[in-house]
Amino acid sequence: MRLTQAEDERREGLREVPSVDDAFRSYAPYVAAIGLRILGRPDEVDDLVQDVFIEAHRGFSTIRDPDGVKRWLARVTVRVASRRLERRRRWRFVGLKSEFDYTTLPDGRASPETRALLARVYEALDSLPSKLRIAWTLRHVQGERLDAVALMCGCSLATAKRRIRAAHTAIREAVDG
Amino acid sequence: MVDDLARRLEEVRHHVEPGWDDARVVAALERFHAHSHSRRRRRVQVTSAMVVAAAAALALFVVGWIRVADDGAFGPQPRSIVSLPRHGQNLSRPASTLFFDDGSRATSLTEDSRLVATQVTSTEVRVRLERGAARFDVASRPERLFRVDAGDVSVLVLGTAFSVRRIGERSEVVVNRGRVRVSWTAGARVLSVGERGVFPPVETIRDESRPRSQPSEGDEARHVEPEIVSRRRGPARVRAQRPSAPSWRALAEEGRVDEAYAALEQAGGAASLRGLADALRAADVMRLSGHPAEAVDALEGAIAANPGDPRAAVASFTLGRVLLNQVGRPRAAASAFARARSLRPTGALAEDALAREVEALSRAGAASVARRRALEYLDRYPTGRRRRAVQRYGGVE
Repeated sequence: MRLTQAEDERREGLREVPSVDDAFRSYAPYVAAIGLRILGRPDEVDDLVQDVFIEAHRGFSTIRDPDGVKRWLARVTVRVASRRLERRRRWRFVGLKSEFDYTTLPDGRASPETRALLARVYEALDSLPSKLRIAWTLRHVQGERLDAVALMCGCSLATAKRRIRAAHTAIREAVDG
Repeated sequence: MVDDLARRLEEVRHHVEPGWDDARVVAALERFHAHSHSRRRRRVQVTSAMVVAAAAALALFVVGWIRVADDGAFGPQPRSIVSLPRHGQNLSRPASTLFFDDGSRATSLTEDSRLVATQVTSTEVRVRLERGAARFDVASRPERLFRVDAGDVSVLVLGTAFSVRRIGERSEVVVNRGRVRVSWTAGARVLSVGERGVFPPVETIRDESRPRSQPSEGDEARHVEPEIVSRRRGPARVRAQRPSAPSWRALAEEGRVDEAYAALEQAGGAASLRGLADALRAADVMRLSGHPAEAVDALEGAIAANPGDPRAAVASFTLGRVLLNQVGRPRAAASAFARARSLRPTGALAEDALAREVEALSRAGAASVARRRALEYLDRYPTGRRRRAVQRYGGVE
């Protein structure tokens, strides 16, 4: 009887929306992964994670569904990453273009061919509008389903498909010539 | 749209990984707290002037009112929101909260609770809990006894926090911090942190000559078993009796750590925590609201109660940081970091823990042990991120 009660209490506890700290401990690596794949620059990931959780901290009290925390953080990550990409574009516009060697993006186990492929892809992504870049990255680098991409980008499924298609055409031309 | 490019990317995308491990999460969380704390401090600074002005005006009003109400100067101790029980004056007047000048406090936990300060001298304070439940936060003053009478049960304390609830003729005592000595007509027992007991024990009541045929409120309480239980089951019983209060968890999530701490105390403090995640959250509230010693209690209790939880290593690491940076107990901090390593021997948390252990040992003056640990670190992690700090603290530069 006591065991059953304790189990119920434990389950009830698990169903609670986690605190910001718990969410940080649980989902910071996930946020970092999305951030790295969208931005393509490891040196920006730490700041992005900080920005995401600072922004999340403000809206965390509005979450009611514990299962929705991960998706919600993904949407915040996309929003914060989008702002960073727009800032990059503005810097490029005023001539403050920051070059980055994308061959350093993959981990140490990647082959030279993989490094070359990913470098070409991310160089091509740099020339795309951030909305196209994010949708395509979520689909093809992060490996999200189309409906998830639409949800994370805050757009309709049709719009997400259109963005991915447009980006894919441009990247294929850049990569394969 | 699965073409050659998509297929190739599917094969290589796992190479784009940030490589975040426990240590990096802990470090990032630390920065996040620092950032949140500084933002909160700025916000507090902006509003503090207004709050201070309002509080000063309110304090002046209250002081004036109390002086008029009691027709004289303040006594030395204690003072109360509802009544002003002082030595030799109005001691039988009940109060919902009693504040004492040394920082001790007695707080009613239910609306029908009745607290009376029956004796207040420089060597002894006696508070009687006539009915209901109350929490007692007693400042450590070895020269003064602090005693709580609840029916036939008497609780003697020296610097601790605990709750007492009347159950008919018996009383339930829950210790949140420190130790208390509970005594009754036929015996006495010491309760430590996290323990709960219902007193007098059933056997004691049965030994008394009162006929069992006489029904009373206490008869129902005789079936409360066992007498001493761990912290896991105690708080739920007390919580059911308490009036609804703002959730400290909700306040913590909003970053209102001072209010969260107050709500946490009202909810029963460390004894009310549910699991390791709860303890980690409470520890954050405690240390950020300026109560690191209580964060230590909460973390130690949680780690001891959940040694198999994968987050126990993170909790132990956090404990080490609090002990080292906020409480100033480097030797205990070194033990906590060592325990974090033993709980999670592999992974980058172990690297960070070993590095911090070297720092803690160095600050504790244990130079030779610090050096041995430093050499161990350099051997295990020759290109480790904390190599320089380890060399410095370990004296192996």
